[in-house]
Amino acid sequence: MIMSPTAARTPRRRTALGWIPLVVVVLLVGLVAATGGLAKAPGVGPRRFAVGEPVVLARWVLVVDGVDLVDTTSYGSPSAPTLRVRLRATWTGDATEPLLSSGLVHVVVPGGPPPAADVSSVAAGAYSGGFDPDVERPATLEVVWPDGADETTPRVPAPATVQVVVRDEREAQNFLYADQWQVTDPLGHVDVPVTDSRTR
Amino acid sequence: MRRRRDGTASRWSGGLRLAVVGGAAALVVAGVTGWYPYAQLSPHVPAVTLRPGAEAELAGVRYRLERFEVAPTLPAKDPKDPPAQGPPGSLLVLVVVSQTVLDRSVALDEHYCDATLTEDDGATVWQTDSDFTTLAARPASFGCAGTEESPLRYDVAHETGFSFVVPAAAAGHLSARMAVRDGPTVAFEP
Amino acid sequence: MTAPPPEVAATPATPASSVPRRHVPAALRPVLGLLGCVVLAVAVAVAAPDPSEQLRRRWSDAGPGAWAVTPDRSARVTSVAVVGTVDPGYGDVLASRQALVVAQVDVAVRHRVAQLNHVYLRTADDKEYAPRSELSSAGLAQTQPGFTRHATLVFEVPSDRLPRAELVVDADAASVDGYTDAIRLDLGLGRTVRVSPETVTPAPASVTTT
Repeated sequence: MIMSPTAARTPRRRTALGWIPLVVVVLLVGLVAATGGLAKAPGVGPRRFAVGEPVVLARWVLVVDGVDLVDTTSYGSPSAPTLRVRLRATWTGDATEPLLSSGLVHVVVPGGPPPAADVSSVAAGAYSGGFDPDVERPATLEVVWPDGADETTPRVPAPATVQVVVRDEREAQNFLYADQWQVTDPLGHVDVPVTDSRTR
Repeated sequence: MRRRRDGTASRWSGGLRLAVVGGAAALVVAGVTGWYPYAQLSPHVPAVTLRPGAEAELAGVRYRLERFEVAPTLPAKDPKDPPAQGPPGSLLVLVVVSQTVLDRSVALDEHYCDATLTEDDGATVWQTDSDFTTLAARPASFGCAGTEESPLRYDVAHETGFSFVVPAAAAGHLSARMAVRDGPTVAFEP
Repeated sequence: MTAPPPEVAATPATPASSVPRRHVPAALRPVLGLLGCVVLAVAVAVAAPDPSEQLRRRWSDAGPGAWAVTPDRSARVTSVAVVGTVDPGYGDVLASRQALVVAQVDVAVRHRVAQLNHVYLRTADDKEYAPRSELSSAGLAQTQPGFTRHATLVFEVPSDRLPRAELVVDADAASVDGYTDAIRLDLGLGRTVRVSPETVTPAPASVTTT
């Protein structure tokens, strides 16, 4: 039987053509990987903000003004070494909010020992109460650094800069609670030089 | 379609009957399970009214009204302090009750009560004061459960003081109520 | 000669029992029924009032200096000042870049103890401002029936939100909200509100018999 030339060519060509989409996909994935697209999102968030630049979030506008390293409380009594983040916060909701949402801000010390996990809000000047709608007011957050330090911990060199990491909030729809807001992954960070104001 | 005895067709098919009977049964059960706890509620009608010096034993606890004072001022606990007094035109009321827990089945650390003061017609109800009478000479206990310094103990008379501030115009018609949680309500009159 | 008028076709004789009427084709009935339901739903949705908290209140309103009366409370604003700085009398001075509204209020309580813990400034665009808690010793607190509390409340509000702001003395905050009375007091802030540069020191709150 004589096979026509086209009949003999077609099966092999079909097999060869079938590989092309797979090769393209592999090449594309390779290209994306090579340009960093598959890297794990950095813990400090992809965006970078400047000191003094307003960071607009879903319900807040935050401005990072500076970071001090202190070893006394605001009343002057000795305390564990503490990184004090000075912010200005504006609540953009409809009614006065008693507290800054927890988890919005934390501090990363690049290359140094990590700070404590607990970030607490303290009085900022005369302000210790809530956040009024669209009224900017100072806010101060504190975190003990290094983690586990207390008043007796020997002095360690202050970090030159820290990264103040900002997270946003997202409304989590559910059938149980109204207005359940959750903190998202890091949105970005601010590189802030640290002012060493320790007394001991 | 079912047939009645006289041969006429009944609209009540088997399925419909089941639905009606089942629904009615569900309603009855729901009604009873709702009514029963309501019927168990004990209203805060006083079981007894005590005058100073009188006592009564209710639910394993002996209650005695020691004092029912109504005055413009009360002496301070610390003799160096001025007497306790309320705003001008007001009177202070101090009701001192002693309790003796006799029944061992009464839990000492769960023996709570709420005290209020009312006028005879019940139109106005005052709650215990925490502004003007805290420094007055009075029992250390503000409630029925006792405090760390003065804990409640079986068979020991324990004094509690309830203090109120009322306008002077209400003075003549006052009565205090002490509602023991999950227990009786006792009324006190001057 | 004119042509005879065309004959009108005689209608076929119909039996008396069957009156001719327009039938809705059977296939269209469910569609029309659905449309009717949708129209009804839209009408109800449009006509229904907004289920906001405002609906669960019977409001008693009063202007500056006048008493608003509800069965269990009366309230009035006796003075309003708009300043830039308030001195609590201890600690730091509260200096605002916006406006500080200092309102003196009297609240007379009847029948039952009032917590007076849900009092706020409401702006014309429905934002609610709570009294600054840094000055709570001058503010409202639990008040027994038969007494009037005289307090000073300080609110920090953007200056452009002040016109037509009112003070709301709402029912005490509880875990469940219901249908109750509440008070709205006009603060008397007109179209243009000037922020005074003076510093105000609020006096501590006081209680008198009503």
